[in-house]
Amino acid sequence: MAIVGTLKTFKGGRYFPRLQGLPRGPLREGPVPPRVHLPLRQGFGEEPDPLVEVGQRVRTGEVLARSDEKISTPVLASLTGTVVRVEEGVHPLDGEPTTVITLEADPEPYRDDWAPLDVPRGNFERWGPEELGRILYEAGVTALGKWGFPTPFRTAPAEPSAIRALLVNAVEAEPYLRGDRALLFEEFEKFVTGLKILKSALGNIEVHVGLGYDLPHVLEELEARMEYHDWLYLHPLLPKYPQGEDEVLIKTILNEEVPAGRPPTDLGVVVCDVQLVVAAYEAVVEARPMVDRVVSIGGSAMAQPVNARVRLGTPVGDLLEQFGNQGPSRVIVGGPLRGSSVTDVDAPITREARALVALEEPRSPSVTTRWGFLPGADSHVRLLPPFGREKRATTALVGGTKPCIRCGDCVDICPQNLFPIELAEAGERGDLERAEELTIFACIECGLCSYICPSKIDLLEGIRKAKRWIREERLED
Amino acid sequence: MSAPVPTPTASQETRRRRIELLPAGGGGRFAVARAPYLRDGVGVRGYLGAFALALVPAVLGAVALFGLHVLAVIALSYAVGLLMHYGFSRLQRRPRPDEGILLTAMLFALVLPPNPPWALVVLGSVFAFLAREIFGGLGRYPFQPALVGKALLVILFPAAMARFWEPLAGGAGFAQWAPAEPATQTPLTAVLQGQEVPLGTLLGAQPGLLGGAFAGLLLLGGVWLLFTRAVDWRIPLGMVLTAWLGGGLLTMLYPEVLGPSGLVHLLSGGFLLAAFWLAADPVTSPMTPRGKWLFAIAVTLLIVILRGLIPWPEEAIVFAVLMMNALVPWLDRVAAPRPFGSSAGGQGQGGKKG
Repeated sequence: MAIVGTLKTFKGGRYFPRLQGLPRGPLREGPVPPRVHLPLRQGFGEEPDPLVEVGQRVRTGEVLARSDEKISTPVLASLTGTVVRVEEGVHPLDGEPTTVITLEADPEPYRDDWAPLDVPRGNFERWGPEELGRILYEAGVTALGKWGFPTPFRTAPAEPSAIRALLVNAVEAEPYLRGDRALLFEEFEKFVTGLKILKSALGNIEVHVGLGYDLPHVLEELEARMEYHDWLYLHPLLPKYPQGEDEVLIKTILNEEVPAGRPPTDLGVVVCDVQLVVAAYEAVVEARPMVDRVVSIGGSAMAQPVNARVRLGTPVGDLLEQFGNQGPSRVIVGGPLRGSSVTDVDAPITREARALVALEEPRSPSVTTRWGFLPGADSHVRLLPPFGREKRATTALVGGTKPCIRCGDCVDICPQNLFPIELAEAGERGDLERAEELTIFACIECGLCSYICPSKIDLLEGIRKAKRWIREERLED
Repeated sequence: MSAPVPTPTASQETRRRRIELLPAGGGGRFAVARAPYLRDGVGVRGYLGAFALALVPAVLGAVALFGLHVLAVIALSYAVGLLMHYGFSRLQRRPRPDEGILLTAMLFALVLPPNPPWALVVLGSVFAFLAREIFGGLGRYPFQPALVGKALLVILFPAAMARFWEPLAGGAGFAQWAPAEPATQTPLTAVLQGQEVPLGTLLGAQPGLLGGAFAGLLLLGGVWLLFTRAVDWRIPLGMVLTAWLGGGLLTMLYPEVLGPSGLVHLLSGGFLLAAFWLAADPVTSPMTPRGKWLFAIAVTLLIVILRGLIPWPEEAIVFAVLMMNALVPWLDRVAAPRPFGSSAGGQGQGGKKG
């Protein structure tokens, strides 16, 4: 156990300290919704085959879909009730087709009838990676994270034996994401034990925890608790967006670069977040399958911004209603820089949904951030108002797009050291060779180039387009 | 977006009515289809407005030094600029006026000599805006337009462009630079001929360019620009340091050609105007950090050397900046940042999930 060095950070990025409607207060228990929609495809993986039929009764945590031979994780029932529909629908985040299973909860008075996991007795440290991997797989925990968590059940692009380090992302830097922080405060014991479980599940590896330095109590407590574990390293990090992205976290902590467009497992590294660590504890020690997750519900259009434990598949409309959504708002699943806008109140919360943000517009599009003197804090123009203490970020393209004034702010803010405007222009011209020469696949789509651009050019959209064309071209070859 | 619900219950109906979600494409001014859904509040207007605003102290200084006609010169420059701009935006069917003219017209007025003939102000302004608008206006011009206008005037009318009037007529102690007749000798020419170092330059006790005479006020505006971060700090700072240190070194090697010290180069001949505005104009300077440093160093050394070589040392900033403007696309190419994760070569570029 060692705290490694002093405060670490990375090139570029941006600090978003204060925003209107930031989720705060203790972790709340979300409602058990009358019905849930569970899309079968999750994250990067494939779609498991459904095992249930319409009309069948299911218990909370029961397996709805599972395919051991595909790169996938089982989908579990997130409440006790009846299967009302199994049919083709679209995934709420990317709009691509997937099978959706809809469950209807038992009528009032509702009580959860749990289907517990099959967990052996005794100390988990003696069970071995095989057994722990199975439990994590069956609990649905392995679907978390951008590239999944490797187990012998093909849940990630790599085998567990190829892994040498686990990075835990406990620094939440994206605007409105506060769920991991709430989990760390309230479930600290589970987090500590969860780290040991994940270490056992991956065999002989190092574990690095990247923790926001604005959580000094958690840092001290963790240091005291893990003093005698020489496999654990703690890294205090500046909570600057996008510190939590896999590529940036690896660059900051290990000083290694993930090859452009490849998963971190190519380096033998797995990145996970606090949610996964806590869910691993609950699966292994409490035999509780992962049927809910912590979602940060906030934004300027929310009367009570909170962090809540929400059943997977809960329609966003239920949450908006319960936590006081006001007026017409743009609703985003995930943070406002990386998330997806949803237009249907029935779009469900999925395993990868870290936040639900509702922003008021066009009535009051401003979100204030305060500037300070932290390194990297608010690395931008201090103009409005001239000598005020707050400046604005907006959800709107004020006045529309203008020609590029070649200020180079996008180059400065890019955490991957790319040349965003050149990439976007190459894409616009259809000059895909130039785009590849500039390593377009190193782009992690953090969105900061579009955010910072004074001409309000949607650089990220241009880069995405160019990426798509290049992929299509390769498919044709 | 998920599977539609065939028979919505009563509670769901009411919910639908109460909770209204805006479409992804948005309407009116809101056209954000995909992430990110957040934009920084500062736009082009704020940027360029700050650039022009930071010149106000220097303008006030020029009025104090040379008289109220300075305002008339600036107004004329704006009038011609606006006319040209509207004409061209109609011709080229550009949707709306751009904010860049705020800066271009102001800069053009400030690089003129203190009392230019009216006809030349109009003519130069036409040149400047031609150099701006035929390329498509804001963000598209490759050469700093104010300097193009000035350069053409210098080449066509060298005598008229070299009439520098005296400041604060008969300022005590600086009488050597305050001849009764319109001066053709600025402190820069004087210094290059081996005269004393004019410490009064900071306070404007010297003839010089309309906007470049009062170095202290230019510095004030420049520091404010650095504080607001409307200007990228690399070019101004790189230029000031290079003038001080690199200019110092060069003047030590060739004192008879280049004058006594780097500090003189820094404080006179409108160098600060070049460092914070003319060379630092984002449109005509490199975008990459390394490119910015290279550009700043090259422009400064070129200014110092040109001052010793050309017949109009006061105009060295004009030609040095224009020459380096031509190299900007090349600088951006050679100084492009190396993306993280690119060292793996072609092997890593398989692309994420399609």
